[in-house]
Amino acid sequence: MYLTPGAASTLGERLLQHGISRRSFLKFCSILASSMALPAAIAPRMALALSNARPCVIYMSFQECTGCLESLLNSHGVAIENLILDAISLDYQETLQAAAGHQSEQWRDEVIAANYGKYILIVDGSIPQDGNSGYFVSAAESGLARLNKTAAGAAFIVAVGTCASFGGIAHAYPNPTGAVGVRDIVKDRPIINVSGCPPIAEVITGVLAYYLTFQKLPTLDSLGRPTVYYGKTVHDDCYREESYEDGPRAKSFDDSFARNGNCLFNLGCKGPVTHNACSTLRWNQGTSFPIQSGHGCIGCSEPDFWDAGGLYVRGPEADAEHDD
Amino acid sequence: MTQTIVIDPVTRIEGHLRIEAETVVNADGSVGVQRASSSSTMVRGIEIIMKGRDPRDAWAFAQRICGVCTVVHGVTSARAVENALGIAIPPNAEMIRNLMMGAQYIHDHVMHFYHLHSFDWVDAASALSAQPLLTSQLQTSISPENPNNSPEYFQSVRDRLYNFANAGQLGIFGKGYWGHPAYRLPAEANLILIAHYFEALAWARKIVKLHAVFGGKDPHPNVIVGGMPCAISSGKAGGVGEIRSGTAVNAASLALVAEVIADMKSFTERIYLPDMVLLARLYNDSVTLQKATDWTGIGEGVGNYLCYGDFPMNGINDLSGLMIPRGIILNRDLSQVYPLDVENPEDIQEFVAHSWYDYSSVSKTSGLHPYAGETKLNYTGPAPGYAKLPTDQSYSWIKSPRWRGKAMEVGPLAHILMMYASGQPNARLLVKVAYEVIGWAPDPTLAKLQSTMGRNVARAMETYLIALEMNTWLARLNANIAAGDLSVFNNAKWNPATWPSHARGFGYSEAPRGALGHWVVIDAGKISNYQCVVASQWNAGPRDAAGVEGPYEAALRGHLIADGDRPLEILRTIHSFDPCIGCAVHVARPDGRSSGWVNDA
Amino acid sequence: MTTLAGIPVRVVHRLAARDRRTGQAQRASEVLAQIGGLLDGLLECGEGGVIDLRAIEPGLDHDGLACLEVALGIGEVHATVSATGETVVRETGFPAVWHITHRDSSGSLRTILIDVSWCPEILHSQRADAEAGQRRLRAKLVSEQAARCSDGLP
Repeated sequence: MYLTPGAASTLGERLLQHGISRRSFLKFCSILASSMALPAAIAPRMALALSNARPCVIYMSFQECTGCLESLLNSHGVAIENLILDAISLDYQETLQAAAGHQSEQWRDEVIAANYGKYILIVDGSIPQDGNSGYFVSAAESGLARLNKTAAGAAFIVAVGTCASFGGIAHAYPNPTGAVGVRDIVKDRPIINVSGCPPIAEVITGVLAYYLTFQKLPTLDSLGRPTVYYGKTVHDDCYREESYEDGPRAKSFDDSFARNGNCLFNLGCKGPVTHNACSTLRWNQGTSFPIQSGHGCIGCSEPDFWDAGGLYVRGPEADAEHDD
Repeated sequence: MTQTIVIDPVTRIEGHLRIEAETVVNADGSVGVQRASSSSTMVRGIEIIMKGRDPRDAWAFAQRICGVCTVVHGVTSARAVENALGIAIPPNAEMIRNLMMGAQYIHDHVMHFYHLHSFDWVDAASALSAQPLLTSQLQTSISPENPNNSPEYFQSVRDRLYNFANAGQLGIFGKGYWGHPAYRLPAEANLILIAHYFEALAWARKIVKLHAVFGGKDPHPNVIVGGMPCAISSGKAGGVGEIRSGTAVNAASLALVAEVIADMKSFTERIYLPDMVLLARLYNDSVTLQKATDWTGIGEGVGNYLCYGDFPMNGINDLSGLMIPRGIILNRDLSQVYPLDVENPEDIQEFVAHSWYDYSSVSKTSGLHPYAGETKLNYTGPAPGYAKLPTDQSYSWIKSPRWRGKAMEVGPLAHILMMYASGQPNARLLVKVAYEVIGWAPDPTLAKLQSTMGRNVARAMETYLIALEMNTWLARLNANIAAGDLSVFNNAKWNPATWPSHARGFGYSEAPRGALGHWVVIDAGKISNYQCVVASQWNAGPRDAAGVEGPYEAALRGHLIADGDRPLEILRTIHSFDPCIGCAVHVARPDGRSSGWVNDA
Repeated sequence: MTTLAGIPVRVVHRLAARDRRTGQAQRASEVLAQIGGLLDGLLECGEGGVIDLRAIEPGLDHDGLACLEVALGIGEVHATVSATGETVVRETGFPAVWHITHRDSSGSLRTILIDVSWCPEILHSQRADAEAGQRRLRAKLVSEQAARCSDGLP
């Protein structure tokens, strides 16, 4: 079975093939609009636009640990937030695809050619800036060359994870391999940075859905992150905020205050300076998030958080007035 | 005349791997692998990055070595620092770590079988011609307890696959080796396995909630030096996830953990184990019927096995309490388990003769114990655009670990053999049952397990053994809590002022892919040296100075390749090891003067 | 005379429980007024609207939502939609003011909407679904016909 990839079928067609009714899809759009703080009445328009979208996704991995893909996969399933993932064709993704070696390279090149200018490029992992260093080679090509090649025809790029966004752990001092994020290499394509180590899966989903609906990027902050998810800090909506203000804060892990669910700021929590949706969306379909499970925020969606001084060193206090 | 088959990238693994297999034409015209080389082509340098930092932070850095086996590096790193500083963790923390590691195994093994490996055994194109009624009958016969067995269900899966193919949405199925002669399953069996591929994805997202409860999130849940940070909630009981006060660990979430464990056990019993039996049986049958390759007689590797051990019941220093015992098996001889001394510089050594590293304190052909480890990153490989790697020189970012000069296999096969050879009743019984159910003749040497197919059977058996044990750990945790012991963290040595000026420690675990060791040296409160010797390093490493092949390389010898352009047979054996190459690239201790340390994680 | 209660203070720190509840009751009133405005719009120009109760600023907490629900009351229609998780649609005591709760397939609450309209879109059958159903129905009729033929029936 060697079918040639053509232009992708519509998302609406695929959903119906997957047994997802249009009504379910409408519901999904209501929830998505709500989570992105879009006007609620927009759901029907969103459903129409999304159902006519033809999402073709190329996913390239560099100096990755595969945690970002695992985050995405850990949310797979016939659940409301996964409708996009169910219907998006991951047309190239090395961890999942059947083909290997030159067949996989050929497949990707054919998909790109058939959808040139229209496909979404997802990237995880940092990239060594020097293409001749030998620090990243795949199919005998440097990471630098592979990124530039696959970025050229992308409608836009989603840099998933802090490594692809800002360089991440490989970039931490002393950055032995000269690793950088996508934005340091690709200058002529729109890039959305969905940072986090890894990011919450629904954040990735939401970003894709927004673009497919409106054919433009959501509002981004100065670091290229969608403000709807990264506009507030983890501290802003943290359920332990009362004891941050009024005490008593935990003095040691597992002390009586920690068991009571009191603030972990004195144990190194970087929540006040970390922009992410962990306190609101939370993790693994709302099961918990780091602070709720007793460890302070380590700041994983911020650039250079690995060099911010140490997990257990007190971070900066929250401002009384936040930027709204 | 040899022809080299190159697979780069090897897909359906973690990380970046390249395989070069030199083939010869045999007298009967068949093409066989004569010599293989395994190469990792990516490094990051995480160990270098860890130098100079607070040892209490190390677990978080180490954790990012791999997001697939996400918990294991964090726990191993914490153990290394705890070992160095003499910290004993509370029993509750031990049980929680076991639960998290166990959950990782079960998640990873199931996902490996269905999402990374199954396309090597399952022809997705063939599934399109499966008849739903026959498929239903086959499913019911191999797993009567599985409720998803109706013809309508399999019809819907077949339709979904058909729509994939016809809507141009081939996605991950594009350019697979469909129709390859090495595929041996009937259409109905193919359809069952594809259906379970999809079911396993939905199942996986539920079971990682165990990590979210104790570790705050998955991937990369949090641990801590001294135990676990997940304080047990003394606040008002809340539901799972809906918070007004307290912490994530409350009665409701512990009940969720129990549910998750039940789900793990149920999936393994209803779906994973029966599918494995089906696979083994049908590929077994094809040997006699069609004179095909016997996948229980090939892909063995080196026949030596190593385990550090894991899943402590009485603290990490009580080796007798480990569910997976420590030891060495040599030359397939299960009658003798040799001791493994992790401190002895003669036991474990790393070689860089065929790796892109130099040693400055000893020659490039010498081996060094991790405590003495010193590595300089030195890429001497060809510039991009090369056709082949110089496999007689340095050709990989992975170093070659050896035990007394011998290459060792690590992973589920090593675990099962070690448990069996150590006389563990559960393991012995399960092996006996597996042999009977599959239809392999009883054999105390377990020869058939030591193969490409056998490695998969071992992985499935291990998944079940751990699923059974999860309830023991949860029961102990719950009993402690009920008796009033809520402690999860020992803060006695949290303050660096309590540390000696020099300390060193070894942390060990068994990851889903095998033996994992972290060695840390702490001077004046900071990390002065950090070394990992990782499971996939043992398995995927290149030849050492004496030319001894690594397990991947040895395992591929003799494979007959039906179609050099579609080397499915090679992928089948390589994937049976469950490669995790992000782990395997080794990072060595930086000496501060050289540029380019290889650290890999 | 100006009283303390009359000074508009934006409180930054958490209020005492009683004050918080008073604030929430006030907020619920404001939302009710907003709903009233949408109902006016529906009746006068045919255009209602949707309010996302989890996204409004300032927000309604548990108490505030309860206040609002009491104020809205219960109407004649109560519908459960099973579409990737349960959605409950009920008409409130004010006809054309609908209360919609979306849950996902693991039962987690995802959003709460007030929909001012003649009938919420989610209750309507969707054209694409009906077309897919039409194809299924035709196929079923064809196969039943074929089965009758093979059984020798007309």
